[in-house]
Amino acid sequence: MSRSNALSVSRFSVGYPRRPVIENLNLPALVPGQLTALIGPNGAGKTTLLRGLARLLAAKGEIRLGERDLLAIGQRDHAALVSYMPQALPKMVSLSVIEAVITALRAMPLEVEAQSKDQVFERAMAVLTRLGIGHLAYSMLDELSGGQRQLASLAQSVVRSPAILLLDEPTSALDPRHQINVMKSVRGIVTEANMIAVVVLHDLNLALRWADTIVLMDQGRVVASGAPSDVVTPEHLAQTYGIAARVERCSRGQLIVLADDTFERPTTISQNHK
Amino acid sequence: MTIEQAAAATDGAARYSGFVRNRQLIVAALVLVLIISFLADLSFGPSALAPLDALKALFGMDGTTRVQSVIMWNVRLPQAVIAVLVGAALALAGAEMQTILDNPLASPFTLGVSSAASLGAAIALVLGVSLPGVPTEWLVSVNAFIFAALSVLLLQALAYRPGTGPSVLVLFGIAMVFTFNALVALVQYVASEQALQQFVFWTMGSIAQASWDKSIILSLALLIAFPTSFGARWQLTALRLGEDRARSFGIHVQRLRFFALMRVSLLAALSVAFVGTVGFVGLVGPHIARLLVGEDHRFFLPASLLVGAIVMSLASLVSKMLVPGVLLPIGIVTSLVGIPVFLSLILSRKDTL
Repeated sequence: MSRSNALSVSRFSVGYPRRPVIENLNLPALVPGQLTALIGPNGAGKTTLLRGLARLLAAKGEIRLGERDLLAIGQRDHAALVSYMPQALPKMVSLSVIEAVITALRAMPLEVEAQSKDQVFERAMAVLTRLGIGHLAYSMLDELSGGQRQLASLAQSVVRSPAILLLDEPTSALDPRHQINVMKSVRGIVTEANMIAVVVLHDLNLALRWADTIVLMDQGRVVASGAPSDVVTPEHLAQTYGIAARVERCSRGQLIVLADDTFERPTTISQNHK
Repeated sequence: MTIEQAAAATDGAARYSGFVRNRQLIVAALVLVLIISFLADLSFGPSALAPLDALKALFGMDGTTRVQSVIMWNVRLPQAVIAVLVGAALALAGAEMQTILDNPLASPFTLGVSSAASLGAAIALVLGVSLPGVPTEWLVSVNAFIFAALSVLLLQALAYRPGTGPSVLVLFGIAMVFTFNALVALVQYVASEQALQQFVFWTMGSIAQASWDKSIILSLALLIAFPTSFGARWQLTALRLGEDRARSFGIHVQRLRFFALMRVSLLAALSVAFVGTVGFVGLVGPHIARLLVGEDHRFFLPASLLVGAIVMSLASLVSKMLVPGVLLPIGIVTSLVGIPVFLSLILSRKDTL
């Protein structure tokens, strides 16, 4: 499986029956080893885009990984290449962490079928250890704290060694320590395994801190994309979020966003609507 | 890998093997409990056949009279066998339903399958309407089966419609419960006193009408349903991790749901058709199994089936012992005895639910 391929998304349309959310969207090429943050106000279409990329919603257009057309390949092949981590995790699940991760490997056979029980276990355990939750392998999912649960969920996606990792708000509702923990793990794994990662983030400062590329969305369209410093600007934030914000460099040179006030969003005239 | 890491890895693998073996042992223990409760069920009954003599008659040992042999083979054994089979079938159906509908309250009862069966039975008993060519003694069962199967097919049609989530299915099932109950009330309203009495007795659930034919049919259904659902064990477990997640693993969730509901309709419809509305086993079996082995369907499916069989077998035993000389309808016993046990289990589990 070649990992040197970039992900290209063009003329991409996705939505629900009778309610298109995204039409004719283009993204800059996403290269392996890079973490792309998807930001934008509520309802901008971030989750819809991510679910469209994961083929959980009917989509039109083109998603290519190198030469492969990801909208045309079989479900099984697609599942081997793309892994999606939903934002909401199910509650009241009587499964231990290790069982959940092994299930992620067994549910739809990758090349795992050829592997022995021990190999499957080793692979699952290695991911848990890498994420720093090896000691929780036999804890029940329901007993975990929010942060541990996110890491356990991340493990289920990462263990399949996908080429493309899609994460929907992996840090929502986590305290700062766990936010850093999750982002650090994602960052590390993406670099090590040379994955293409697309991560929906609400926290602009987390996006600035951890992403290589940022895509800013609003009303189903890409407003800006590229290097964090080019995308996260006071003008863009005013235009999309309707906030008066400063983007400044801290003493270490890291960009940070300071939101000061809100103002009425200018009524943007969308070109999509006639 | 350093020596310590290698040691830790071996340790980890050993621990996992132990963890799996532990759950296998629980399932094995359930088999043992089932055998004991089955034999106990055979040993007691309203007729004057002492426990020891009963077991002798079962194994065809010397000194068994012809009467004893007839009591054992024509009365007790068919009843004990059908109790086990119905318990297994309903609990397996409940386990699959709870997983595919992502709802701990789902069971053949909560989703209208039994209400539909009741309507079929009521129509047969009160109006005498059934398919042409059905022998009279099968009339009620066949009608109950047809209605139960139709109700699940309705759920099925809905489940296969794109965009229908589990909660819509559950709400639809509840709507069916009320619809069928209203129709049953309508049939009852026009019923003669005698037919009404028969129907009320049927709704209590009884294994008194057990026969080998019914047991064979139910066994065949289980022989089809269990291996296929066990074959989907990893996909079913994955569904517990969330529908989007399961789909992103490459699982065709709608197809998984479709086949699970097919199995459910077969098992639940046959069970209810043969023994009437025996409530509760479909709900309680999976719950007890979950407390024992968790929701890894490698263990959860067989454990649910076994717990259901044990509960029904014990209910059959209790139904004979509660009032000496009288065989109480088993449906009454499963609810009366089952509910306190069930509640104590649920409430003792403080952390969740």
